[in-house]
Amino acid sequence: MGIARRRRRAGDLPGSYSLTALSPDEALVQKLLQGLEGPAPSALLAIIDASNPERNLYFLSQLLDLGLPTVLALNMGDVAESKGLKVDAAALSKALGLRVVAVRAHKKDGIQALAEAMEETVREAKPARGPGLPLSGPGAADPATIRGRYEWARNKLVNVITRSDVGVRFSDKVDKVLTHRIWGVVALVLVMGMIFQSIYSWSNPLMDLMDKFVSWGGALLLKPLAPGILRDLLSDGVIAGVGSILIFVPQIAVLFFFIAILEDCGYMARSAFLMDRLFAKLGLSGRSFIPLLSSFACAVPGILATRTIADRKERLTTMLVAPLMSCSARLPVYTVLIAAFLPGRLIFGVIDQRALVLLALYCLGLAVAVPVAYLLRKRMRAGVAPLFLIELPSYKWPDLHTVLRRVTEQCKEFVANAGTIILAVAVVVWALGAFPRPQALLDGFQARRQALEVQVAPAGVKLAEGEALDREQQGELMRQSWLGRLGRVINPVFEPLGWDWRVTMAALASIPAREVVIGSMGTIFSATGGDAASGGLRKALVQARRDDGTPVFTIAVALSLMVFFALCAQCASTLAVIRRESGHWGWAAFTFSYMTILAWGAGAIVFHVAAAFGLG
Amino acid sequence: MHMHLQNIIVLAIVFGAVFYLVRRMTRSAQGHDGAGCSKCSCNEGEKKAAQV
Repeated sequence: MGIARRRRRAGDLPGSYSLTALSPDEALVQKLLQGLEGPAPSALLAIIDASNPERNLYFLSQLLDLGLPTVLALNMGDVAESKGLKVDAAALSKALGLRVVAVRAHKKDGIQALAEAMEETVREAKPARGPGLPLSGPGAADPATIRGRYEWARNKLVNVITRSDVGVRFSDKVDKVLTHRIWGVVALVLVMGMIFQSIYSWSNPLMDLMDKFVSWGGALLLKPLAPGILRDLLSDGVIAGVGSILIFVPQIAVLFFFIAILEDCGYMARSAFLMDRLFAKLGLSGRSFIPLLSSFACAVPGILATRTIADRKERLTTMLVAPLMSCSARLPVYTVLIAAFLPGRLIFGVIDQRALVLLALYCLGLAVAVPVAYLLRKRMRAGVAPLFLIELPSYKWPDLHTVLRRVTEQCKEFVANAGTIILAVAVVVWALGAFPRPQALLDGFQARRQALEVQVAPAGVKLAEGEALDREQQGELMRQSWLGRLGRVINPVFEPLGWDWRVTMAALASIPAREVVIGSMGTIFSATGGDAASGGLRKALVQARRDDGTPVFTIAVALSLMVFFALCAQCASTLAVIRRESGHWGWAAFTFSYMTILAWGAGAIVFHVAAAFGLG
Repeated sequence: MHMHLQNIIVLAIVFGAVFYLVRRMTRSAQGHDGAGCSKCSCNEGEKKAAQV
């Protein structure tokens, strides 16, 4: 931060309610501020919510007892005023004996004044003075100490706050419905249903545009290259692999657009409140629901968010079930298979059947997580769920800047993944599928091609037979490749799920990151005669045939594949984070094992049930 | 393009891809999540925050 040409280093700490640490994130704040992990800061900036001054001053009393020079930023004054509460910053400053600046962070109001106040406080280096109550040891959490701190806070607020009656607020009126035990759940299902419906209806035109762009870019790249191995690598490996995943960027953007809106308007906290009732019956609390909710975007930040859970067993349970939530990497797998194999029929004339299946897949992760969490808690002999307290923020209009930033960040990460890990896997899968190229086999096909040329037949027939011969050659080369041989050895394990060896290989190639499967399928099915190179992966999947001429994909196979992906732990990043946060590789191995077994079992059941209903 | 040159380029690309994947998996095994600094849970950021 630069004030009057001076630069200071500032660090942000996790938001806390107290210095008497319960959860790992609060423990970290406590250690850092007390100088137990490196040098203590030279000054503190405490940002408090003006709409709840008494509770926030309780925390401030602990911060002041640290004896560090402190500045107080009084944020969300507008929210406080909407609640009929006015906090006089000047009077509070006088009462506390430190600089107090009123700010509105989202509008950047008061930031300059705050920076100046901080600079002056750092220069003065005058230690702050709190009530002088114990900060650590058994006395810190003693009821008498807590009462003493609240009494200090109330005394400081005399002549500082004025209250006026504003009647029932808009937020409270809306909450009567949205946090209702029945209507609240109905509203939650409707909101989620609308999001999935819009993923299809909004993103389709953008996806078509992206598809055209990928085809155009691919054609441009291949134009100067003569037929040969390099051209094959670019067309069947790079373009088919990376191109087929890039067209999903618009869907990812639409999904995160809605998630960001729901977060920013304050609805997400309500959904955690609603879920607390259900989770409490299973030994978890709404506190676990927030990391699980984050995991719908990506399990990595979801698992990191479990640091806010104080109870170790509850934290570990949440961490182990978080990867069951359908993250954004699963979305392309669902949508490509749903679009290829499920007709877009309307149910009740309004709801798209495909959106309903997508919603069901997202609910599947949560539905499976509930009994798994219950069993884990029982096995760990964990007691009842700890009490869950959550602050429901007032509803507000989402900030477009915040929403767009979130969407851009997620799209960037998705594209970066496509350009690194997906590209690398696509190249390796292509190489495994392209080699070895037995000369005898190539010579045999060459001889048949020459025989076809001298054959007397109409030009159209000869062309069709030539194309069939090309497809046969590609199929035979793939079967004799390393990928084909490996696939046929492993495939018996996945036969109960109805998978062909090519599907098995695509699924196995996606163990480092699940979205890789789209690129791998693009590479494998384009190399066996499909049209994935031009972005038509769906068409290539529909056209793919087994050795006996039957389709590789039926609705039953597509459903088993989607259920497998919904429940399987194909994400190296997630497993690495579980290891890091749990402190043991055993938990990462356990997560991978239980999820893979679960995914295999559920996939097999879904395949056989769907086949019994004539969908196989 | 000459056939041998094509073969060399393809070989280099394939080995590059294998090297990248092995390196990434090794980093994961070392405890880095491989998802970039913003998501890495190695606490380096938090330790730096202490040096205010």
